[in-house]
Amino acid sequence: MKEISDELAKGKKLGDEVEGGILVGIKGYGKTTDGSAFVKALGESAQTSEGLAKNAKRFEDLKNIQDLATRNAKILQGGKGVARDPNFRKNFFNMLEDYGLKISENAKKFIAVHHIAPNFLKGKEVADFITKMGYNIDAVQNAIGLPRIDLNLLDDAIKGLDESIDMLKNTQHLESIKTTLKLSDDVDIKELRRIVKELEDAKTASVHAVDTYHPEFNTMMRQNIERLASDFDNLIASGVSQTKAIESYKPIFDNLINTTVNDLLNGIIKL
Amino acid sequence: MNKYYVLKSIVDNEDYFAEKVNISENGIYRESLSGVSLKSKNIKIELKKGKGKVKNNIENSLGIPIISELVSNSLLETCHNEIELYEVDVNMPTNSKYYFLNILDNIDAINFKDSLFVEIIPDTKVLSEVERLILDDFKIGSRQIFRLKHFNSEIIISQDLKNSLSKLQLSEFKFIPIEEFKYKAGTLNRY
Repeated sequence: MKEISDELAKGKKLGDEVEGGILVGIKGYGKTTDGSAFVKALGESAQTSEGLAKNAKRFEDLKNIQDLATRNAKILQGGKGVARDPNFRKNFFNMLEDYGLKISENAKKFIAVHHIAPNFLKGKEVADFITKMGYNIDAVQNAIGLPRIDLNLLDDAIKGLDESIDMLKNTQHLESIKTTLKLSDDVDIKELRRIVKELEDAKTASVHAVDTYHPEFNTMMRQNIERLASDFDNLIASGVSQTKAIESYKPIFDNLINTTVNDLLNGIIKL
Repeated sequence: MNKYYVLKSIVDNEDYFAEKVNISENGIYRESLSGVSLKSKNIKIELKKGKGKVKNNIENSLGIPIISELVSNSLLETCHNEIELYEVDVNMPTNSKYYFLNILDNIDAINFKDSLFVEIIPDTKVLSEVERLILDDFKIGSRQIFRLKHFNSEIIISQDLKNSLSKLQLSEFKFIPIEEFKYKAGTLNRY
């Protein structure tokens, strides 16, 4: 398996692709500040659908939903980061299953996550240390931040889907949506209704029980990384050159990051 | 030989974690590790509102020890001249006052001859692995709470202070006998 730290050390950051698809990507149907890709897809399809003039009110509603998604995405960006594609972490959905939340392939396309990235990583000493170890600070935040389903954007997706189901009865429109969202061929109105129900259930799943900053995990990471950063500076203070100190600490830090990410991937670190 | 303990805080996922903190001075965490007095600084710390239960120890993104009045009173009774307390503004529902605990002693008390450890580079006394720590009673003297010069991330307390804190019957703290404490850099050390 390719070492995650290799990718991070190359300066990969949010939005970059990496081999294996573990790290990153506002791709697929993750959300960006432009709003929900799903809602956007609906909007775009609506503009090309026949019967647009007859149903102006519905399309106006769609625009409002998109505005809502955009607003929520901006709020998230200011507060807890931009939501992203859950597939950045290869077994995110396996982890959800461990928590009793099984989601169908179709419903997965409507889910976005965002990370609770520990603030201590932004502290000057820690950030300097991470940079000296050759890592991109944003990439480290993404790698060890804990993902959680974004409930605000899930609400938007449900609302967008629910309010649009009647309109989607138009066969041409439904085909367009299916193509855009890469939904399977057997998706019909009934399936869309089932997805809405599934997403509604996901909102109340126990995986959302921890709605704080995951203090247990964050404290553990802070203690481990801060100690390395502090010892790195102590080593230099003892007369060792920075180059030699980096040579000594880089393999140790690589190991810490790889262990952490692998433990997260394999569910060894419990949320 | 006196007994000493590493004082560790226990954090649950239901606890309030101060992720957003306003502080008047940068670099306080590192300075506090060195055991110096911070009285010359105009320290103001504000913990922003968050979720979770506020307990007697508040973990925070700065990494500094923040303790309740209950805990600080116990420390003041046992070792008032070994610590400094700076009130912290906690924007959460609580009836207690909270303080940033600055520990004044940072002493060269590791008995390197009898301890089992690995240095990151020989003769630097920067430890990358600790299998067993033995402390020098003579150098510690009558101190109740201190940090170690060459391993300063941990707070070490005496048997007397451990007894005082144990009487509070708080679930927020764990006392690891110093001889049982282990550390390995680059692994996820959990306590």
